[in-house]
Amino acid sequence: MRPEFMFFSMVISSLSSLGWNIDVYLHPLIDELTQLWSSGALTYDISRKHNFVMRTALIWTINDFPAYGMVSG
Amino acid sequence: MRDSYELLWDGCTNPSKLSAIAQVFTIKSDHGLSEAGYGKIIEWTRSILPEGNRLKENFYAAKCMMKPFGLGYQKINICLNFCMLYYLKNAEMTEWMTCGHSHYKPRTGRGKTLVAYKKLRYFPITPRLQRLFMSPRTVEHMTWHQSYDAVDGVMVYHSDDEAGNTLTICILTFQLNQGTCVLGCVQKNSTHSGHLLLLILVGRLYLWFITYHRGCV
Repeated sequence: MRPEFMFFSMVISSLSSLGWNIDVYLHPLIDELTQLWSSGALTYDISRKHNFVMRTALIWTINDFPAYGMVSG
Repeated sequence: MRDSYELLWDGCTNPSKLSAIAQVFTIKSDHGLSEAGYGKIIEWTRSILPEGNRLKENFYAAKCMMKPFGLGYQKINICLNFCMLYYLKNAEMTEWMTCGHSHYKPRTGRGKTLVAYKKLRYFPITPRLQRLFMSPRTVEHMTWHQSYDAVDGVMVYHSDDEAGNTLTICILTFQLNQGTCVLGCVQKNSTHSGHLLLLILVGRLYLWFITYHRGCV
């Protein structure tokens, strides 16, 4: 995995792990993904020199078991 | 993007105007340098560089140069008890009904600015994904699945066979607003469509994304 394709999504300031409360913070990310899935975003592709509608879908998450429990609620 | 090719001064071999600013920004954030400290260092650096150098004169000018790259972030106020975000329709609320904790800190002195107890920094993914398509270097990796030729005996993504062209991917899309789980389907069936793999890092969670684009508009 190349570093330029790795995104840092949010910074949550907290002294300890959020546990199940992580779902509260994922709200903006989920909203954006839903929007990218339903309506997409107009994007310029420099290799083909024209615009297209980019759509995104979350296919899987990779995590250890504590994080898996948090994401699943 | 022109700034990434433009040299810091005529005859300079390294670095470019953009990479110089990016490196100074990294030093600033790593060491918690103030804007005034940044300004003084840049002032001194400009004085020792050759005449006609293109180093931005202060932090504001450098920030304006970096703005079109879509690296910005949103600040969203959050409840101190981790129960909600003051986001979208809740943004104007002064306290949350569940825990009753106040949104803002009590005012001190004569200042009129309201200061929230806690903030979330959110980095939107849409401009970051769009940026990957704007650079000739990264767009090559974003569209490799369309041009890649399969090699016999090597297990790779089948980009050029029939199965690859009519690839059906079943994914689970979580529709949180309805609280239900729906099985969605993505159909890949034209030469202009394709899909890409991206990685998004959220704390300890690695979220893989599959992106596809279809046709032109």
